[in-house]
Amino acid sequence: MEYLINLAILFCIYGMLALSLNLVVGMTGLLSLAQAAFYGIGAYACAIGMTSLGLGFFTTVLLGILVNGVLAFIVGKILSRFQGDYYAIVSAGLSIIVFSVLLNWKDLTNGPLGIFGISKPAVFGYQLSSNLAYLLLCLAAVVLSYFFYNLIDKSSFGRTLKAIREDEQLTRSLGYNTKHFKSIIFVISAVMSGVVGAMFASYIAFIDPSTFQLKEGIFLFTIIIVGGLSSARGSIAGALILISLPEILRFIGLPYETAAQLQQIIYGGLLVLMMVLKPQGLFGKYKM
Amino acid sequence: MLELRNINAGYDKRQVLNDVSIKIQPANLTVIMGPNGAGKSTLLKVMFGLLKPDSGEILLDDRPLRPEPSKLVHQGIFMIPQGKRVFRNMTVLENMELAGHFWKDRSVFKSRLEEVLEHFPDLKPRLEDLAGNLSGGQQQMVAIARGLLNRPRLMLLDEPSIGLSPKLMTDTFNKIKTIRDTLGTGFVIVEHNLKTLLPLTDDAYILDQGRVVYNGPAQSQTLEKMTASIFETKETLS
Repeated sequence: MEYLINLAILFCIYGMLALSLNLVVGMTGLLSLAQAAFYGIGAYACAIGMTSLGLGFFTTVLLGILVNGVLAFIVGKILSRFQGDYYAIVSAGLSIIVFSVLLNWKDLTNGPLGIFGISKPAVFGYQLSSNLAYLLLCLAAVVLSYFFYNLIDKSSFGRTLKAIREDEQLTRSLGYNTKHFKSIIFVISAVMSGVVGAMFASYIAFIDPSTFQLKEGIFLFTIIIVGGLSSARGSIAGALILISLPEILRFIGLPYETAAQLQQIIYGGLLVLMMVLKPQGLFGKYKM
Repeated sequence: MLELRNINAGYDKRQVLNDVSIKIQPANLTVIMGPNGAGKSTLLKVMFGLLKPDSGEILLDDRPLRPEPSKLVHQGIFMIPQGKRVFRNMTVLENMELAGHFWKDRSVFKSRLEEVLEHFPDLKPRLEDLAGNLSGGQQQMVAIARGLLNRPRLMLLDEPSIGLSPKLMTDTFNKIKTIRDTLGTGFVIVEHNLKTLLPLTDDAYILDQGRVVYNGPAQSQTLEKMTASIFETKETLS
């Protein structure tokens, strides 16, 4: 049971990260690989705040929002000049820089040894010490994130983001300051990821920089492509598939000696097959 | 109304416009023509602030202006970029709504939409259709209608006839003239298909190698001779 609860919590965390990334990549068409950076900053703000500064969980979440918001605002301004491949490269650069800082600023982050002893949050005085209680918090957060995504999707702000995705120059010709819109959604997405990072740190109780590498950003990218770009349902479905598929493959009775390798091959093969059969993802509105 | 003085502009180190000066009169149909690579689209981009000139001056109503699309739209100037007419994955109505971001009050948008659709009755039953499913001519009408929602003073159209059949092209140009005559909206049109367009227009500019080589009325023998020599064929006008 604990195993399933653990999986469900991870699914919630990746579902929320996918929703936040889909705002930028799916809805606005910006190829951001920076999500792992903001996820990491949120996680470290929580870890450092709770273990070194003695702050409560929700205060550290606010701290993460502040740090991520300021950083994303500055980076978003720079990134808003770019499109397509260039956007991906510059945002990947941010991810690498943040990873390096987490790894090397040992006085603050404890470097590669990571930070231990991050406690779980208390909600209205009730300590969420059991995983089941934490799962309920995560589920509530997923539902909230899902509605928040749909709120943006159906708003005039969301419509403008989709217009930018489709044709930025045409959107500018209608009088929109597209750079402004791109910056705002980048900040919103970064802040969302930071909150999820704090939830992850608090759940897992130990974090180190390896969790927040560029490859994590690429994994999140895979989730939204498999689930479908610009789709809240797609974000959730993608997270469900990519989190549960490796676990399912563990129970299909592969020969012990080659199980790990075969699992990887089958996992990769299934992803390729899915993209061939459904290039726009399960619920996607657009292809990459 | 809109005046460009001694504009030099280009991309990176390649200079496209050389000392270009033009003056757009209010409520006129102005055509800008010239061979491929003459700088026509670049000129339109400079007018609308999509490209910053290296030097020169731009004036709107005799006042200096640093064009920015977001500012110009508020001042009643719209542009339809070349080949980019509609947001294909959105409905016709959503396309229209994108131009209605000035008004917080939805009722203003609705009344403006009704007003504009009177000029484009064919679009009325297609409001919920995806814009990408419309014909090229209808998409052009959506683009023009969307611009008209804000009652602009001037619309800049970059090659509006691209991809249109001769009949649709004629319909489009006639519609533009009707709008100018009824609403008083001025148009600056960069266009290759002069045979259909020139008889409808008031003023003409010819650009060649980034310089203005003709500036005057759209119906003149001088213009006819010049276009024939520049385009190296008289079929364009005859």
